[in-house]
Amino acid sequence: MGRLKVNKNPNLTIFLGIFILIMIVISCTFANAIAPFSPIEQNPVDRLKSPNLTHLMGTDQFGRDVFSRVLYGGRRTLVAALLATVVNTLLGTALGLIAGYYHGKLVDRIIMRIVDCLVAFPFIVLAMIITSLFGTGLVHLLIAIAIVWWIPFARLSRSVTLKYKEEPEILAAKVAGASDVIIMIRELLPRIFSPAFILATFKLGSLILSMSALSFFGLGAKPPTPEWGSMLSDSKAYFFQAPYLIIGICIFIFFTVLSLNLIGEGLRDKLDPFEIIEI
Amino acid sequence: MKILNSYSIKQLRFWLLLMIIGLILCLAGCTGQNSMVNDNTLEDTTNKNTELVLVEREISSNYDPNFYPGSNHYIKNGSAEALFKVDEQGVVQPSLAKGFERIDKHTWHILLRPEAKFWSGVKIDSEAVIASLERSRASNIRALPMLEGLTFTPLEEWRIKVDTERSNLFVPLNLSYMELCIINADKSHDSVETMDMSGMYKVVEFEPKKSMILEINDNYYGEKPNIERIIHEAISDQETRSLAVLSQRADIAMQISNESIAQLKMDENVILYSAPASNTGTIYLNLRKAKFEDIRVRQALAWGLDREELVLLGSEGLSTPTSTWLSSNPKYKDQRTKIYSHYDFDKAEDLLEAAGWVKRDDGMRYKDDNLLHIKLMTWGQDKALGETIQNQWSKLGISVEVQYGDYSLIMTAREEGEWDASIEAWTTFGDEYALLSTQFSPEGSGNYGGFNNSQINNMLEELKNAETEQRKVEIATQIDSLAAELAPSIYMYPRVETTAVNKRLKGFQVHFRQFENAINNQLRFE
Repeated sequence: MGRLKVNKNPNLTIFLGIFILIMIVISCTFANAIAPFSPIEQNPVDRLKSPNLTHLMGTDQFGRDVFSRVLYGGRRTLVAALLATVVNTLLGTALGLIAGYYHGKLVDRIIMRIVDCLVAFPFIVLAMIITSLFGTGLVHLLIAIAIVWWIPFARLSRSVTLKYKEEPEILAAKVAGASDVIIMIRELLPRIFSPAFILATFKLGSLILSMSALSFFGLGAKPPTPEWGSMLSDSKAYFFQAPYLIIGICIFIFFTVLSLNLIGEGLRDKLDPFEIIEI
Repeated sequence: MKILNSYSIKQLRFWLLLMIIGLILCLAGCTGQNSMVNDNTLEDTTNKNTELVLVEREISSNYDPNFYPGSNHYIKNGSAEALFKVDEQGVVQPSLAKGFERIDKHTWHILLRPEAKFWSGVKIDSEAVIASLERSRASNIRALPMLEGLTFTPLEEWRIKVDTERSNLFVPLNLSYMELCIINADKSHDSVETMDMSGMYKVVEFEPKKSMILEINDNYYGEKPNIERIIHEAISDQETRSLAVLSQRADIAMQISNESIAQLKMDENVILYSAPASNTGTIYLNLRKAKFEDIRVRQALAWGLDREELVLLGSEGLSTPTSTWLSSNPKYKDQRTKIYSHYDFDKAEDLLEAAGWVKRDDGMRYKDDNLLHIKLMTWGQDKALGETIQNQWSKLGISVEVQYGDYSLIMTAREEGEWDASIEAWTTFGDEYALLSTQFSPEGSGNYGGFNNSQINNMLEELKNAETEQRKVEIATQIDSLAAELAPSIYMYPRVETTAVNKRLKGFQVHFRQFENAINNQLRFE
């Protein structure tokens, strides 16, 4: 067994994560001011240029500035990931709460069987089905994500509900005549909030990576709109010829995921200080 | 410093270490691009001409060549032959047949080779050839158009009479079609043991859609090949195909993607062959949509395409712009810049203005408050082309949405009419009437947009009944020019087929129909 240590000062982890994330968010938000070129304007004369002082991350196969595209693409990617995470958190938490509160009853069984089915169904295959049925595009990408990614939130929410539903204060509220909805919203939901929030920060990072993977199937922004996943997908074909196309995007994805993981880890240590972590 | 306790410092170190490792890996990826392929230089040069590995996107799916995809793969790897073949210059040459004679405008004679035999040793006489052709007629829907109106009669053991419904049909060209390889019709062709064809190689092992092993056919009538064994494999992923030839695991890799060309050019062990195919990359317009009813809109789209740039970005500069449909056929190359001779942005804008599509403050064009929007469907492998067209037409103030799809998605959209424009490339080599009527007659299977023009319909009838080759060419040229002017579709450039070949392999022949020409009896390793 390894050494066990307690993270007594999670502030630094959170601070570092937030700092990196803010830097990325600012640079993407103010892409109009920072980006030196239009993200969609083609310039065949400058195609596939290596990184230089004019084009910091080089140019792609259409002569477009990769740095500018990464900054503009970040807006869409981050907003889409955030939106998907919020939807998944709300959906998963609500369903998990209902399933946990009515544990053993029909509604619990239905929700948990849906969860089992979706867990058993390969995510990538599901994404391919959505592509073939509805076509490509960012909205369909979000649909593919929303169908599957609420599951961890539902499971977490259900287990927390099961843990607390027999607590004396919950039983007291029942005796006092509080309705199920009131108990769920006022008594149980606040207890789910912290773990769900922490889980969301972790999942946000994974979500960005998944979105990148799904863009390989065309489930991303439509051309010429830049988006990290589809940019990564398009660069794949030029990996040997122009590896810098991939590296530029990967650096941004890497630091975004890193920052979110640092925030999530710090929050977990801060909100649940008795957690023992193994290094 | 209170914050930076020992745990935090260690955690920071951990993350820093992780970042440094990541950066090192990235840098290694950038600089070591050729290391993986050059480490594997061939040491086994003693086994010359023993084995050749041919890889491509797909191989035959069935033991029976009449099932698609089948016949052209067997012809390509040297295990089957049609009666005739088209050479690199586009001239029809004898293959399994010894020759042909034109008796009159409705009658031809095909002369066979008495020495020709199937793999099994069974002679390939008139009866056997006719049986094979009739088997294709009965079971191969793709072969049907080439056999339509042809009646075969055995005259002698080695001579076949062919009667044609249409006058002046060049029968040998039809019989050179890749779906018409000659096989022993008495065999069932449902396993390697029951396959019986006529090529210089015979199949000894075969896993449909995956791989095939071929060895020299001792009964072959012609010059025996130098290489003893061919391994024909399917590698669907284009990058893996490129890597196969870079690592010298494969000797010939076909259907090389444009993106891989630069990488392959850098490798000294590989030679690239690119042959502009006789097909025309075409943007088909859905003429049932109101926005395309006005000829000026269609012509504006044609003038508003910078074909030089399309060639550069869509095919890595390996092709040549064409502005009419037939001009990718070497016989009609003078047509290439006859109609839309250059990129004319101003003319395109003027035509759109004249058609009532006016630019507004947002830079987009509207007519009666309707935005000029085009949904362009194309194939996954044409992403660069799709985006380039989108960029060029967007400059004209047209809203262009590019949708990439596979065959079923595009076909479904066409059937339901849910498309504005779609890209496809049909072959332009063959009988002019058959080709042009496919594209421009109202019933033509390649007339996706529903084009119907009485003048062209009359000219097609005239072409059908043309008495001489010269007259045929004249009428075909007129139809081609008129169709380009009317712009039911927009023509861009011939799609290029690039093949990567091991430098040690000599005798590879570049062909505009490379899809049926890869293995020949002159191939040898040095």
